Amino acid sequence: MQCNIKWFVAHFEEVLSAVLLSLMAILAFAGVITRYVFHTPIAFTEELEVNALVWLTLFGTAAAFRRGKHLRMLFLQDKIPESLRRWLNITINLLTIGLFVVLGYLGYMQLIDEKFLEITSESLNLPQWIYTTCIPVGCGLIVIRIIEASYTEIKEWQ
Amino acid sequence: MGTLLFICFFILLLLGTPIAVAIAIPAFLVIWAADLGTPVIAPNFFAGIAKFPLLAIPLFVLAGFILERCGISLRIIRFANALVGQRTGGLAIVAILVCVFFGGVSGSGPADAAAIGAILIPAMYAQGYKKSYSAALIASAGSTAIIVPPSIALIVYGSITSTSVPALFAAGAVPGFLAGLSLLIPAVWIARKKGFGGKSKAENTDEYSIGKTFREAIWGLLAPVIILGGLYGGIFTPTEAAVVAVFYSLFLGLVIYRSLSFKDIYNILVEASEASAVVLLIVAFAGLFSWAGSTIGILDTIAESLMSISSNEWVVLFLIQVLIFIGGMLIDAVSIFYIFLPIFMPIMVHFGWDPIWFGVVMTLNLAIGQFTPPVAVNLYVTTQLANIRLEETFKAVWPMVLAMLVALVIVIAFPALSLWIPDFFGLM
Repeated sequence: MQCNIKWFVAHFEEVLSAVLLSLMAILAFAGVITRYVFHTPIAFTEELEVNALVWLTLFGTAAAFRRGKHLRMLFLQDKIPESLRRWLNITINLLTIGLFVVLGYLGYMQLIDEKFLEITSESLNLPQWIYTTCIPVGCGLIVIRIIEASYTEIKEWQ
Repeated sequence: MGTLLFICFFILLLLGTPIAVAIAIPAFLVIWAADLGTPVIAPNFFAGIAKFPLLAIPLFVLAGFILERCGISLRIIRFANALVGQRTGGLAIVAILVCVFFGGVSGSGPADAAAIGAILIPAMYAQGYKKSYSAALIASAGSTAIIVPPSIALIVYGSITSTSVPALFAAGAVPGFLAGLSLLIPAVWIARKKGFGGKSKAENTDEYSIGKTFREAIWGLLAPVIILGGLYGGIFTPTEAAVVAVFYSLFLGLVIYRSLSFKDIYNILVEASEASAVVLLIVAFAGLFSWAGSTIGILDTIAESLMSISSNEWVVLFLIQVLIFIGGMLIDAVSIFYIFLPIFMPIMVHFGWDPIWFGVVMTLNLAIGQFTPPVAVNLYVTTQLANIRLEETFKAVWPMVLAMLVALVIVIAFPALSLWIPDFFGLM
């Protein structure tokens, strides 16, 4: 059981993005069915799917950082000595962490504004800040995953 | 300020920063330094992703992953092999056919090259093909995935320029096949000259006869027919076509071939969401980059200086193609669209170029960049599969680059090649 919890903590965003993506596919398929079979499209699915896309992007980004799947140009890195490359990658990771801290903070400010101004979404009239939550939460998770990945990398040096 | 934007981007890119991050950092810096208002960043980031047409991206990625894992690519390779595989250079033809076909379901060049290369590179090696040749061939044939519909690159192009995605998908078909055909010439010529393949007769038994392999492959061969037929016929929107493709391939994997377990499906879902997130993160940050670039006016300045070089539209078109080609060698198609399209759009309007035709030309050009040395994503993937060094393929890949450049010139010179299918189906 403890092993399961540990696995879930380490793969939290993977489980979430798998669930999100399957829900998006099912909703979109339901949209096709209702449009062709019942001739009454369900309009609200569009808002949910489009917002789920932003959540999916942030959680998927965290997972991709953990596994080192982001597109990058390694042309120059292949040509420099190992020790220099290590320091370069640590610098890049620090810059990336900085970027997502800023984005997360700006997202949080946005969330506070939307809560204060009581902005609601277009078709479902849900409070908009519920959707915006994904930016600070997602960025936090991304930062954690980058730190974890750097930690494993540094441990491998020794 | 504009130079800061581009120089900072290039330095980060060269150092090996993930592309999305290399785009975002200069954009954030310029928005802050030029006082454009940092509070716009978060809502812009959000709105950049939350667009209905972009929904098709994770769904097409998912469909491509399911089709690949459920054993369809192997069955289609067997069928193509039974058709043309036995002659000298036969497997090279198989590789091109299958890459173009599979591009018709996956929509991403490196994914296409990885899926086909994993199976065909060892098979080609066993038949006496040199590894450098097969790696170069599959990298170049796999690049057609971004032009053969459905294509993730064309979805993003449509969303930036507000052109119809079904029309773009229809316009990409002929140029995509033409690009594949153009590769046949150097591929077969080199294979004949070096005597690659045509040695094993053992596989041509009843088990792998044309009829048997066709019956096995037919379900997979139907996938692009359903996707593209539905799109061109105006039955489905791109997002609907994508979700139908997802459930069709799921049906194949669970009911027809019974090759997928629930654990497989979970893994596919995880990998598809990661792969889509990599693209969508670039979409969001590159959108901010081009917004910052337009607002401080650097992109307009570049557009004006491009047009001031010559008033002849062919000279400008040539310069633009050179720019796209160099850009395509360095970074992915999606980033290029966001950075360069704000520059090219006023030029397109000025000369009255058709945006659908331009999108196809630009995407085909970017496809060539994906396998042109020294920085080539597709070659990177296939050389890793072949377990050889990137540099070993450089000699083998040049004929393929040249062949596809010829195809590009033809597509530029005859816009009707791209435009007759969207015209025919009334999608323009």
